[in-house]
Amino acid sequence: MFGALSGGSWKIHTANSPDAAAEILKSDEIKLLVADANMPVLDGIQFIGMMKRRYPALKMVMLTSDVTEEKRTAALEAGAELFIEKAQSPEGMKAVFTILGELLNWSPRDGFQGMLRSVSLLDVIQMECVGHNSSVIEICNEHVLGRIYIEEGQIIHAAGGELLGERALQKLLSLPGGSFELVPFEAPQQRTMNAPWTVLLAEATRKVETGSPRMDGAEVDAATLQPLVEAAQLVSETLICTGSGQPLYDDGCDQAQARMQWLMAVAQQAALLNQTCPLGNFDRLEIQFPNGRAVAQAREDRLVYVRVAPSLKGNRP
Amino acid sequence: MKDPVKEWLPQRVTQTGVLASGLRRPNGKISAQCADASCPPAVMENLLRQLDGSRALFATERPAPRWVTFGFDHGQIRYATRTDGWHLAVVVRPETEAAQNLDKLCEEFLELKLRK
Repeated sequence: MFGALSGGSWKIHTANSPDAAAEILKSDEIKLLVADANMPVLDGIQFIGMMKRRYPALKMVMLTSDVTEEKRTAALEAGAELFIEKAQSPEGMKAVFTILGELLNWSPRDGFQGMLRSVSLLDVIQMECVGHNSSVIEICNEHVLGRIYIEEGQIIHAAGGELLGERALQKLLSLPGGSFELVPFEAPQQRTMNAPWTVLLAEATRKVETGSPRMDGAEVDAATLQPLVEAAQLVSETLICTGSGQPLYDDGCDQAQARMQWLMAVAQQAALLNQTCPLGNFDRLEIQFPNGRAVAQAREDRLVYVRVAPSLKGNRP
Repeated sequence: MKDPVKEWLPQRVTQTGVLASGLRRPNGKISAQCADASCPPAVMENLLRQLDGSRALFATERPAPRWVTFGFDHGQIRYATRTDGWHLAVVVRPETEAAQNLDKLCEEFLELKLRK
């Protein structure tokens, strides 16, 4: 399935035993090793440990249906970059494919490190939501300990330091570094967020980017949130890609590849305008249509396009 | 109808936050005016030419956009085009009176009765 998802750009080698896998690694230039935890003769953790010593630069992933804290720790200590639970649905497989793609494109950089150390915290949240997963992301750095609760793809609660809800989410997303872990879902004591995850992340990202995450005052009330909830319901096209063009989320986008190239062209045009009249970093392009509007962002780490209709009673553009 | 270059635009871009504005006539002639030294008329004229070149970016969008806004950390470039060939561009500081009035300004520009 990964071969199909990659559009044929990935060449997949499979092996039924550790020695067969070792032969493939010896004879072919492999970029990513995905090992099942359950293998004959020696288990996946031992196999990864052996291969890591032989091929220290090779990226390795442990795939298992039996997720335990002990196995995860052992796999990461053996040299695995990622420890991923086997997907049970096509959406889950796509999420795993996206994660593997990110790992292939990843090169070490400053920022969050942890179980999913190849991708950013925002990417992990998006992937959990897109995959309709339930999980808790535990985040910590020297100043803050936080948790983000995701239930069936919806962000339902966040706590960070003394903050709860959206402000906690914004604070956690604004951390310059730290570590995070995906742990099995457990219900929080309270639910502080009920807006769609796309709205929550867009708003949190916007506030982080504008440097105005609200760390004080009251929680956002329902009346404030309502327009955002309605806006999410009116979204007719959404495309979210990594900076390298790897799709993370696509809904209603008929020609994702063309849209992605368009976003890159927008970034080039903005750079030209900024050369003529320096106005700082390019933030976004907003397009006003007769029947709605669209917002496009094109940055090094992500490409985003969202188009919405004008109102609940209006026609979708 | 009154000449928008001489009468309409100068009266409409007086709010705090306007850096520069300009109009491109259907014949291609560009007129720009500066409200801040950071964006002199020559820069505005170049911006209008570049914006004219950017129209290909939006040629496949349906329906055709009424206007677009390039947002930067320290400024916004609003660009509106009319089917009769008139183009308007305004550069403003974000979160200012001028930025808040951009939509109204563009609505008015699109409704103006102008000579070709």
